Amino acid sequence: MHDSTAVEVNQLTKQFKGATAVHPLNFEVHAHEIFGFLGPNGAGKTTTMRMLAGLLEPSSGDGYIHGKSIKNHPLEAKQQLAYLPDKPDIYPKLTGWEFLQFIASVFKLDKNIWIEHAKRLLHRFDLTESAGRLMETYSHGMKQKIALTGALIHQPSVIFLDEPTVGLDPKSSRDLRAILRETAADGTAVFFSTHMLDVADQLCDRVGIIHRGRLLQTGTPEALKQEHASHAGGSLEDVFLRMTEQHETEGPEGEVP
Amino acid sequence: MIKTLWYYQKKTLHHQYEALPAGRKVLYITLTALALFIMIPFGLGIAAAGDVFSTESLRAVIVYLLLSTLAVITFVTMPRTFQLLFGSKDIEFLFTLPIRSRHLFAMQFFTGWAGFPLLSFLLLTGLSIIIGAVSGAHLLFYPAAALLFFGLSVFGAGLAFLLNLFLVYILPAQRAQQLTTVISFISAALFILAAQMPNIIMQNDNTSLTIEAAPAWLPTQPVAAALFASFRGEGAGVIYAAACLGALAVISLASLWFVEKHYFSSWQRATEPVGNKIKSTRPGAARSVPYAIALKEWRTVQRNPKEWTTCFTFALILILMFINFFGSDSALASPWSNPASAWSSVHVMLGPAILLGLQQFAAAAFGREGDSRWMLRALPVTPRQIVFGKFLAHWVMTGTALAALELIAFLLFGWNIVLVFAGLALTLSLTAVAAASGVWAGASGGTYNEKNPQKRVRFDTGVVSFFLNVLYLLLFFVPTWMILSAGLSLQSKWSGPEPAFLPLWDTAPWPWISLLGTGGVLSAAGLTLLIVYLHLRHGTKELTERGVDYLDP
Ligand SMILES: Nc1ncnc2c1ncn2[C@@H]1O[C@H](COP(=O)(O)OP(=O)(O)OP(=O)(O)O)[C@@H](O)[C@H]1O
Ligand SMILES: [Mg+2]
Repeated sequence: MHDSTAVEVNQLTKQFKGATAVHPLNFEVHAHEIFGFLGPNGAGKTTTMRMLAGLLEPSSGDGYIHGKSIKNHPLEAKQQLAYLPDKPDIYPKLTGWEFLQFIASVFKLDKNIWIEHAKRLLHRFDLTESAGRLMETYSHGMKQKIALTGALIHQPSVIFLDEPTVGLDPKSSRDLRAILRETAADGTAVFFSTHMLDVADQLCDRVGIIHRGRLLQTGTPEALKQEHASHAGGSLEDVFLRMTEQHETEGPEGEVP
Repeated sequence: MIKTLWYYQKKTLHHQYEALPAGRKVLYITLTALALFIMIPFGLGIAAAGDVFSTESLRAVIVYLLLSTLAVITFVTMPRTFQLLFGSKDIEFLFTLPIRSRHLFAMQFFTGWAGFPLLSFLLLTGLSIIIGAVSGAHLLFYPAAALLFFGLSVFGAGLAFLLNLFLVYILPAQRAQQLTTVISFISAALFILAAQMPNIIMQNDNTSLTIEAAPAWLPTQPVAAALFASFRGEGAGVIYAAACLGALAVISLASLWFVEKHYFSSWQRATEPVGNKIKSTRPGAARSVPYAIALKEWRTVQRNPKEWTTCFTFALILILMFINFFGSDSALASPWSNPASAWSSVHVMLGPAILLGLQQFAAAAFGREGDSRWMLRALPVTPRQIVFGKFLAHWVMTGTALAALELIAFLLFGWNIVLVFAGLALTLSLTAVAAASGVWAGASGGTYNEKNPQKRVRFDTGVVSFFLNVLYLLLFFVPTWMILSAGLSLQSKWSGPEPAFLPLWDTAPWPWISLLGTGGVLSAAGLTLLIVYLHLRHGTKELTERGVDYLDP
């Protein structure tokens, strides 16, 4: 299959009060692809994703969702994307079903289709029972899963997930991975950040390594491992640690394109 | 340990101050200077008034004033205190550390005192210095007044803390959560009552300025005694003052002991998640976006009594006006014998209550998004849909509530149905204006800060919004007058004239009445449409311009 560009990042930059959190970034994510965004704490993953999802104004540069600029055409871009934040704080005074109906209304989904779809997802996440309760009574993982359900019911063509596996139990985590694979197979571009390198290794078609707001390298996990095989051990973890350490010692100038 | 905590608190306060925009700092400093400036003529006025009273009356006045000051300090501090004791995220973290509850409490206590109580202490001391200087007090008066007012402020703050702890301790855990709502209401009510205090005292005797001696058991009696004695330079003043401060020390120690025992358990109760039996509605077809937003808004408000606090101004203005009006012995005050007069009076009072009290409720709509604010930003909804949805929600909520009240009054007082409809036209117009101007204030000045979740609108926007609504109140004077006059003349045609404070057109010809009535309703509707349209349009513009991170502090 040949994949169109789903997300295009063009010189995307963010400054917070003088400090640069994200240096000009350039990369692409394609449809049908699972892209893993890796980087140590404070590397700029959340900041980048929030800018791409239209939650944070970029200082300069732009992101495009299927060619629609998130800066100039936020509505059209958001129509096609879904975002799952690292802290899934959702309307505490709504029940799970009411929340899903809210999403369905915003995306104007057909009644029979969305309810069917939601039921399937809720069942998969073991939320069928709790969907009638107020979301303030949910645990962290449950909030994450209901937010994810909300993100998936409108079948976005790009989905951003900020550390989606954090706080999920082993079964939910495995279900999530399976769902992400299916979603990508249906043509959605899946863009997620994580610290779990083994997950990234298994799941991702491509990964990008970001450190101190700069993208060090992108490529398939295999290619990265091969490239660094002479210096590091065989795992993605070794590659990751080596690259971020190297960047540290070389300083911000020694950037790998 | 207390040192470490104190250091940490100091740093936080310092950073908070540093983070304030420069404009805000200037504003605070200007306000303080202004307050100091106003204090001088005020103090002189009081000193002059003091000569008019006899010593006994003056003493009674001071006892009552001290008492109401204490009440105001206590109840104004209570909501903030609740937040400090049970609401702040830091406390949750600090409780996981091996720190004594007593130390935590001491820190929170200081933070609580350093707000309104400290301000009252400074103001009262400043006032007594001015008064003392003008009326030639003994030198002893100044330190005594300063010490006593310091004690009063500590005592008021302490009472606020203890009442919170005590209420949480005796209430069932589920009710304890809603305590802030109740407390805010009580404190607002008491604040207004305290402001009415001079009125109430004066009403007793219009003939002479003698006031009956205050009951001896009032706790502010010894404080007044100490003030008086030290004013004259009597040695007894020292004894009284010492006694007051001694009592304060004993009470403080006792409360610290109580706190040591109960703070942690109260905190657990106050933060325990509330179980509830809310049943989800059946999922159904997609709705239009503004309607979906309005529905979400309605559920959030309906299920969270804390959101109701913003309506309290409205309720209080209304209650106060009703008490003042129906409590007076004017002929208008008998609503059953003069239904049309009662109808017109009620609608005259609704104007200020709705316009000045209800716009805050709608203005809170944006800050209400709170931690979930990312949601609306990530979804493909336009600022226009958000503004319109929120307006719709607040107009329907306030409009229906007032229409229901109107219906109750109709049944209770036997109003004519035509009058009820005319009144409804007026109330629905006023609620629409209040909702639109509130939503505008929220869209252009809404904030959310998890440290202070009750603050929903920037101060400057709040002030602008208030004055705008005063202006609307003036504009609505014309349609209100037309509708009410038409209604009253109509009633006089049916059942004879009633005493009314509006010009009653007993003999007005029918064409006049219908002209007035339709003109009133139409001008009310037109004015409403115009104001609502302008506010929603400008609110949308502001929201668009503020960008995606509009709620961030
Ligand atoms: N609102 C803000 N104000 C100032 N600096 C910020 C703000 N938000 C983020 N930063 C800074 O931007 C940088 C990137 O933060 P970001 O949250 O994107 O990191 P991350 O890669 O998501 O980290 P983690 O793995 O811990 O989630 C950090 O240095 C952080 O301190
Ligand atoms: Mg992050």
